Amino acid sequence: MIILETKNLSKDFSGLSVIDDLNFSLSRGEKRAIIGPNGAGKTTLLRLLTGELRPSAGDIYYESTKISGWSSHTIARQGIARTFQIVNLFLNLTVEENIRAAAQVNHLWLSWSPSIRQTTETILALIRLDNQSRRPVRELSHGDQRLMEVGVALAQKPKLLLLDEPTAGLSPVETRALTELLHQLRDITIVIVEHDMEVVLALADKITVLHRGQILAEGRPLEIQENKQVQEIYLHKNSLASERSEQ
Amino acid sequence: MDFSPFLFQALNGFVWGWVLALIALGLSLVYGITGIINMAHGALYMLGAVIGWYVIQATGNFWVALLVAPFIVGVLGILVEALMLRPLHAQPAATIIATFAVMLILQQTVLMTFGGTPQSIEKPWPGLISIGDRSYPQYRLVVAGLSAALLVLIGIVLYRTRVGLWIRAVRQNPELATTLGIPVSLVYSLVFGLGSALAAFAGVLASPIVSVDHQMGLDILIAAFMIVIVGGLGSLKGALIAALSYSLLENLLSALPGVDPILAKIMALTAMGALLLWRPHGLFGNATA
Amino acid sequence: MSVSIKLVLLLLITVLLALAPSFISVFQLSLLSSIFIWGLFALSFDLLFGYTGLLSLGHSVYFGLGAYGAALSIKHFQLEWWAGLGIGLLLALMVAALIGFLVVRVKSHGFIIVTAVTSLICFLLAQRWNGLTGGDDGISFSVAPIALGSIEWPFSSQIVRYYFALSILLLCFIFLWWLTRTPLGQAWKLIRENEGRAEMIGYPVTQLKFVVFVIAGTFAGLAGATYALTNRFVWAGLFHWIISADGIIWTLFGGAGTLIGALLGTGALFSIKEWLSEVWKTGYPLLVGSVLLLLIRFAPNGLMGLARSFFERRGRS
Repeated sequence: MIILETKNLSKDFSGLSVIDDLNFSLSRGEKRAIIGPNGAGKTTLLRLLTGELRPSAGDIYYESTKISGWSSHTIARQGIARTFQIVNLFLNLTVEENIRAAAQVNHLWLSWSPSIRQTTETILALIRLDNQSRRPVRELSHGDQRLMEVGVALAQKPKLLLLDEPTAGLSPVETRALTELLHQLRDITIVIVEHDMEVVLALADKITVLHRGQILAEGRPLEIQENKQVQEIYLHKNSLASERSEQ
Repeated sequence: MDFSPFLFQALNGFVWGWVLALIALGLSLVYGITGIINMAHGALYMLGAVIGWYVIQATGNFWVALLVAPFIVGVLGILVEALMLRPLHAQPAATIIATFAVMLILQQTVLMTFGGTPQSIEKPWPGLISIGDRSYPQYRLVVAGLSAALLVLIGIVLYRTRVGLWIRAVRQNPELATTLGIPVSLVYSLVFGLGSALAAFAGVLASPIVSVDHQMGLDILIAAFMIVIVGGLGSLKGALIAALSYSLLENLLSALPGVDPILAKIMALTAMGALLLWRPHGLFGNATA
Repeated sequence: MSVSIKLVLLLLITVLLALAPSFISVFQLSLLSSIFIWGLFALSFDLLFGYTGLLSLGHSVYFGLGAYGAALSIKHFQLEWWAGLGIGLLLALMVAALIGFLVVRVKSHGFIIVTAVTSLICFLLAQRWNGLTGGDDGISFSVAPIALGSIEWPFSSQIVRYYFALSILLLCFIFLWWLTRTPLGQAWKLIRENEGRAEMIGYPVTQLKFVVFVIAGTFAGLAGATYALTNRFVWAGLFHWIISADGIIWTLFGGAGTLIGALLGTGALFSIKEWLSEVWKTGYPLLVGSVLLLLIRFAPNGLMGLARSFFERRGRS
């Protein structure tokens, strides 16, 4: 069952083509990783999917409905949630307020949903920040803030979760904790943009390799690792990345 | 149909447009480079006119006032920026409020020293020039000429001198500018001083045309802001075009039968406001003019 | 401070205020009445700026419309006080909806200036149509007393005016207190804190801004209508953006985003203004300017912010 697909999706900025005639499709429940060198268009793709950017050409279909051109908040309410590469939270509000904000969004405006406390506590327990619920987010460590990113997205109860380099800047211990958390998410379709190949191999059913706005290769992790082109263009560069993350 | 009132008003609009352009330019420079929304800008214009008045009383010479007043106000601007505004890190709400406070203080101080009675200043250039069958004060044309000259001068400074290069670099990328050794804080202070001086210069120029009064900045402030935003925040070319357009529009409208100056102002403001709703980034927004 | 302590304090203050006419002078009652009315104006502004982060310099438009709506409908159609109040409120609401629809799409700096322009235009219009509005000289009018059965409470009585203003303020305060605690109220805070993320989570930011703009404008209109009824005089200057600026200053001084802060700030600065006008007429703007500068630099969260950090420090030690 296809949950998301793009048809001839293109995006250019002032003549520079960042996404080029992309036909991408995603099955329900799949865990897909998107990898590729910097500038390949990975984050741009996510931003197109969430409605932050309008396509220059082509369409995006979510559950068979055309969503390209919809506003971000409408798309979010359809069940698509996204995390950000650079922490993008409500820094002055508390941990609990951040989660609660996301949890309440599909409910009423003038009264709090009776399940809100339950949802908030569940998420906080999942990301192991329940003992810090009253702290302002700006006081959390970077690692905890990245967990908050995921927590906020999960509180939206999404059907499709888009993760933009969730482990960026995390220590190996923190990375493993986050990977385990993501592994526990069974029913959600996940797209994860990542540079860390260990995380990718631990989580992904299928990998899409993006290069210059087009799909260079797509397939199971093993196939991708053995793909000569991918090795040349990306995994070769990625060995530099994994060196960096080990420091 | 008799076109001479239109011609007359077109000239007025043109001349005043240059004064507005100077004021808007100062505002736009400051915003474009330091990110400060200077609510005190109108008060600096007023202060220029007031200090100019005092200088004329003391020396009897208008042209001396035209040089001295902007200099004093420019220095004051540098001090205000360094002491009061820099610690605020250009947060919009904070700088608006702080500069609003400066405006209050300046206005009240002037009220208490200069007094509440508007004073007039004699035109330093009293001649008249005949246009069609009407005569037009030469001084007004001098104002337009001087303003244009100053704008050209600013353009030269910005695009042909090292200081100008620093200013443009800081505007593009403050962090990069710092790593290149450009003294960014100094640039910020200088720019604020320059913007203040421009407003003061406009104030002195305008003082023989309008009268000198402690509230003269208040009336002009909103129009100046609107011109800056319609022109596109940070765009100098935009500020000039918007200033001339607004002033021409307002004056030409007032030449229409049945339209008094206040109604003309309302119509011109509404037109500009509508333009802003249609193009929220202004005419030349995001341009690095 | 927990919610229950706050509630008890508020209740106490309310009782004190209700009993005030028995132990304070008529002059002080008049001062308090003004504080209630302008406090309501500041409250409506706090909703817009303190909670949602929208700095509108055009808020005086709705105050003026509320005032003139009440004044003109009562003067020309001999309406009762409640009809005048309703018309003022309705007029403010409708214009806020119209202007809000256009204006909430404009980005931050443009928004501030466009709203300032709206108040400039309204002020100029009010000055120009001085046949209708009385221009800067204003118009005065009389209104029939509040009638309850056979009891009459005339607006000429300071005590009636006091309780009238106090009742309206209390009702509005309670409503706004509740509103800011709903998910809607929280959503506005999200917009203030991180508009982009709020949109990405699913909050319709532009629509929410429109809603708060209209609600804030309506309450400003209610404050204006109350002003008209208690003063039985309105003038064109009520539209000027300097009035909006007053609202901003009082709210900031007390502490934006707290509702109570707006009332505290209004109370403090308005009283100081009255006191100064006896002693040093032109001193008030100078004082306000200096206080503002100190405030924005050292205590940006106003009185309430200072109180909060004071209690936090005591809690820690």
